[in-house]
Amino acid sequence: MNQKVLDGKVIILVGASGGLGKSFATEFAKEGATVVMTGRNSAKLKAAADEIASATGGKTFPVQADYKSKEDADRLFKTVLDEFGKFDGLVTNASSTGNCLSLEATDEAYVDEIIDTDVKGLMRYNRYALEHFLKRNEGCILNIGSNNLQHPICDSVYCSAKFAMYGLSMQLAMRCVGTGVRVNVLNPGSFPSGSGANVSAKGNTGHMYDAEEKVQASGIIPVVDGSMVDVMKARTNRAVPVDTDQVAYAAVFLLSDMAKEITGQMLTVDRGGYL
Amino acid sequence: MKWKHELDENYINIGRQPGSDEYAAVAADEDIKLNYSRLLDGRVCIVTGSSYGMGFSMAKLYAQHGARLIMTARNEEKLNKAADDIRKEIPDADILTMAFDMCDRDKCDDMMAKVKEKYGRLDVLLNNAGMGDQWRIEEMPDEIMDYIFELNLKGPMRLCRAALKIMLPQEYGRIVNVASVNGIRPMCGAAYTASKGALNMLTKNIAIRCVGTGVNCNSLCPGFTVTPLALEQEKGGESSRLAPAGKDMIPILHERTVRNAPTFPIDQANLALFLGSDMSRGVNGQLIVCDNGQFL
Repeated sequence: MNQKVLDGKVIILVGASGGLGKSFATEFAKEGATVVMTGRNSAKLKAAADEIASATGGKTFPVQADYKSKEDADRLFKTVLDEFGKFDGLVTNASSTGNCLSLEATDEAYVDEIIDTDVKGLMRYNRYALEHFLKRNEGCILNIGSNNLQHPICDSVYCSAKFAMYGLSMQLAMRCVGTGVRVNVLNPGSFPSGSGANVSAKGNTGHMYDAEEKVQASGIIPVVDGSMVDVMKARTNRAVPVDTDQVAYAAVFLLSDMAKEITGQMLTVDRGGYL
Repeated sequence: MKWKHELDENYINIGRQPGSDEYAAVAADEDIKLNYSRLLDGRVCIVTGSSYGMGFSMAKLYAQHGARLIMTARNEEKLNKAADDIRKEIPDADILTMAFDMCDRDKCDDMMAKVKEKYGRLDVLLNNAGMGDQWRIEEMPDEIMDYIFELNLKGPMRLCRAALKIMLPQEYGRIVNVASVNGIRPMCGAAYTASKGALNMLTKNIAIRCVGTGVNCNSLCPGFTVTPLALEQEKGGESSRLAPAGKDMIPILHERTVRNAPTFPIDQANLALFLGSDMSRGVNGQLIVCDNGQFL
């Protein structure tokens, strides 16, 4: 009963230097996991890894890697296997943030950028983990989505990429039934410190007052300058922000043996804000 | 800070501007320290249908994590034996047993009144009591339809209604509705699957109503779990209300789901523990399936 719930597990946490990433790493380390932390910026990543190791007394292992880069992914997985011989979990927390754009305000470059990281990068990391896990008949993939998977209302390309993540995760889960490999999706809610850039390309932060007259007339929130921010704020409950810790607890649960029979599931941690 | 249903000035200011001080204050209102060994320390928890099978396993795990338990079931003798079995392992377990039928509306209200009187609060309502059926829709008798809906849907609805009268004023609560994976991918009997689907919608409706109140409501959806009830249903028996061969969904169920990967009561109990404790503080309105991928 006193044993730590992630004792002895090596978990690769992709995108570990931001607010949510650090919360994940902290909770995983507290519960006995060795946390392989990745991020683009070496210095920021190492600082986070050191801070968490000393705060929790747990084990962190930073490896610089850009989520977009195949070479970095190859190096990351080789480094982990050379160092530890195995890994037990993959948490794909890295993601582009999108800009709350409706589709008509996007262009080819914007679409390419988001799809490259959030779909192709995601598939690459999932593929490498899957290969390793299937050899061992053991492993847990946790893809970090968005509350927009429950209620797709922000950026058009970002939402599409997240649904691609959901489709991939479900297909993998079905493929892996009976193999000992589990795949689930965890959706964070909205954070007060705003890890997402809730700003349109033209700098519209979406104050309700801009659209107030039109709202009073028709009750319909208009899309201003291609920005979905006003609509998003009107149609979801953003008065219940979530602490990153609360998302981290759910991740600990899904990665642990408490959840060893849970696969193919999508769990949203948003206190009901996007219901 | 409560969810305000009317559009007023405060709501627009606080709810709509991330980065403001009020927004940050709302987020940081509680600092939870999780003790993974005692996740329900001191919490007052009702577990219905807990004399055997899944419910018993849930009650036992709750007791191991320090819960103050109220266990319910129809049969008083079996219920008291179950409580004694838990006390053998956890001698200082705090357990109140109440034997009654969930379809008896007066008894449901009596139970809540007793809980309020004895403990002064209610932290977790785990609506586990329920029954399956395997009847195909074109063969289903009225009495199956009536009973299944009374027990599986209206019983939990009444208990949720009464529990919320205690939980909302105390600004804390966890309602865990044990539905079924059949409430999402409906393979078993028509009444059973429809009742579980309805229970899942009730879960989400309660969750939507409770946003910002400190009360979370989620569905726990078991797949095929090795319990006495499930085994009895497979073999056929009076309490299973099994449909006769040719009038049942079992061939379809066996064909369309993975049969050699069952879950066990402890797996469902672990999920019930997650949903009943502060580990799931941010989780509201979710339908979580624990079925080892059988129904994917």
